[in-house]
Amino acid sequence: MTYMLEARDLHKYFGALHVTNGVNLKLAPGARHALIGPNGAGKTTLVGQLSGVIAPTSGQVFIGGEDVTRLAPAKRTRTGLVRTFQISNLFTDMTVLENVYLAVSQNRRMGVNPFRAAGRDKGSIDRAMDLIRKVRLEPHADRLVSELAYGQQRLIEIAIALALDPKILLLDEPAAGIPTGELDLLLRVIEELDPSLALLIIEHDMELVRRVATDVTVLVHGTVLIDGPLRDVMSSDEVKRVYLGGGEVEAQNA
Amino acid sequence: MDMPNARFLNRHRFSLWELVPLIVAIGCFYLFPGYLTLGAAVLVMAIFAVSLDLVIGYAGIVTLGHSVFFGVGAYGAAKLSMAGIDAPIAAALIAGAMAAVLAVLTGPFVLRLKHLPLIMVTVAIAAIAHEAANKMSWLTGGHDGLPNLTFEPVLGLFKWSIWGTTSYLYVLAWLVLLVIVSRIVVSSSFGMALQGIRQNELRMRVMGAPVLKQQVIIYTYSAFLAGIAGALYAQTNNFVSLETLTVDLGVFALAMIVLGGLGRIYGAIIGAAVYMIVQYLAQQWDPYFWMLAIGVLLVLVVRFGKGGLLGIAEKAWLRVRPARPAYDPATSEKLEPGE
Ligand SMILES: Nc1ncnc2c1ncn2[C@@H]1O[C@H](COP(=O)(O)OP(=O)(O)OP(=O)(O)O)[C@@H](O)[C@H]1O
Ligand SMILES: [Mg+2]
Repeated sequence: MTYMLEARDLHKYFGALHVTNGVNLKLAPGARHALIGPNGAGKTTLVGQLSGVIAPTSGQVFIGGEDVTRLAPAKRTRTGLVRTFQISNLFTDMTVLENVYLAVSQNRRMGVNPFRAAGRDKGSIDRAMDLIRKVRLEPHADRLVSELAYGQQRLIEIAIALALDPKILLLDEPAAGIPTGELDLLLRVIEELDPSLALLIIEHDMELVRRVATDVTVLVHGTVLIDGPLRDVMSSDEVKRVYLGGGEVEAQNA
Repeated sequence: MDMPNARFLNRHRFSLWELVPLIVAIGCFYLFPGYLTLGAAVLVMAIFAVSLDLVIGYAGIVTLGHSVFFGVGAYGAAKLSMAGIDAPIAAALIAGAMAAVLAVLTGPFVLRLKHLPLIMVTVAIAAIAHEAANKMSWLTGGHDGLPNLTFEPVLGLFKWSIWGTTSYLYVLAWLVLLVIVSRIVVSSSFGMALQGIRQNELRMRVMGAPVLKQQVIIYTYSAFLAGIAGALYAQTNNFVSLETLTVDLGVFALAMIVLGGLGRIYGAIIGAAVYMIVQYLAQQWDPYFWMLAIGVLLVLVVRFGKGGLLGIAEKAWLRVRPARPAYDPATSEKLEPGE
């Protein structure tokens, strides 16, 4: 079968540091795949290579069976590969609505139209407002992003990702910084995703992983320690050992 | 944050405030009939400053080579006049198009650079263009320039006068027209994307924005404006010289837009006017004093108001009356549903 997203033997060095070490990863249509691993394991760097903002030292990335290793990030996005950032990466000088509007209008290929007033682009503005409502930020739509709490900024990341009509969605620690009370909201957004969409979610919160993912890849020091169905991976001795050693996941899980 | 409550999505809304500069310009026409030549020069620089603000202030493309497009427009209009194409409006449009063609050809290469390399390369290109024009005196007249240019009356009706009456109104009409078009451009989805690129280019790329294409479009449009400004310079002075190609021109225009407030079309206009008038007055007093006067003014404005003169004024006004939100649920219900 052709996978929606596939990484084949990716390697990445930062100087002498081997951050991605022969990673293989496959996302089938409808995949709900979690990528877990201790801090510094190379998860974000892997997402960078999948989305094209980091060039791998060697190896290949395929979208829908096509080699996109040399394809620029913007073009990958236009094929439906959408990522979020672990640390909010927004237009801080713009309002929430303007941030999401920008994503909607790029997605609608309006970004090269110099004659259509953005403020009269009702279709895109309404779509942006729907997404803002979805992440319950409507009361803040007209506030500058820089005035919002960190957790709220994380939700804008999600709204922007949805605005880009993802077919493949890479979420880099979406729950980090989101207050516990809002986690249900995040879960619901994920549950409402198109069932045929392929999701890769990096997450430290094991409870969230259990509820969202059907498959898991565990990355340690840039290598895949183990991957497979959620149940198998979670019960594997290796994973328990790594996580008990790191302490990170168990602590957050408690 | 230099502009609290910035509302990009409100940019297309016309405000009565925007008539103020026009009223002032027309007022000056009647109040200072002896200064209309200076006035026309101010308006030409205002067009050039707006053109530079579009690339620097809106798109974040920091170039110091914009004099090239001004010079191409100026020499283009001069050559057109010498070749018998001396209907001023048509000549200005053709000269602007020449500058735009140059921009569309060079933009895809130059705009791959960012930050300091971009600044260095654009300065170098401008310096080389100046020197090349100096060497090619068969084409440009070298140090002597191209004097005694003649142009038909504007629209065949309004004769040029030595008092600058026609020049002033002619350039003012261009400025008004180009500001209206530029306003449409910056408040479009495209204009917002440019401001997105300025704030966070990586984010725009990851949203699928064709960043280089967007930058080349604004660069080309901006060059078109700069070329028209150059042509108007030639037409109102009946003369072009290497002055129109000096690197200084791009640097002065940068000072103007910083003074007036980056990323605000009217800021560029105010900046150009204040700069030129301070320069004129300081020069009257002491020919060597004006650089210092401008320098002190710039330092004060940058120190006390990040958004330039216009930013200071806006901030004061927003204290009095806050901006209206872009999304108003009450009115949005009445409009047609989205696609
Ligand atoms: N641009 C870079 N240059 C040099 N080293 C880097 C760079 N980016 C990341 N690294 C290093 O690569 C390693 C992997 O980083 P990465 O951010 O991918 O880890 P991660 O698994 O996402 O960690 P976390 O759970 O903390 O987000 C770390 O040791 C990090 O310091
Ligand atoms: Mg990370």
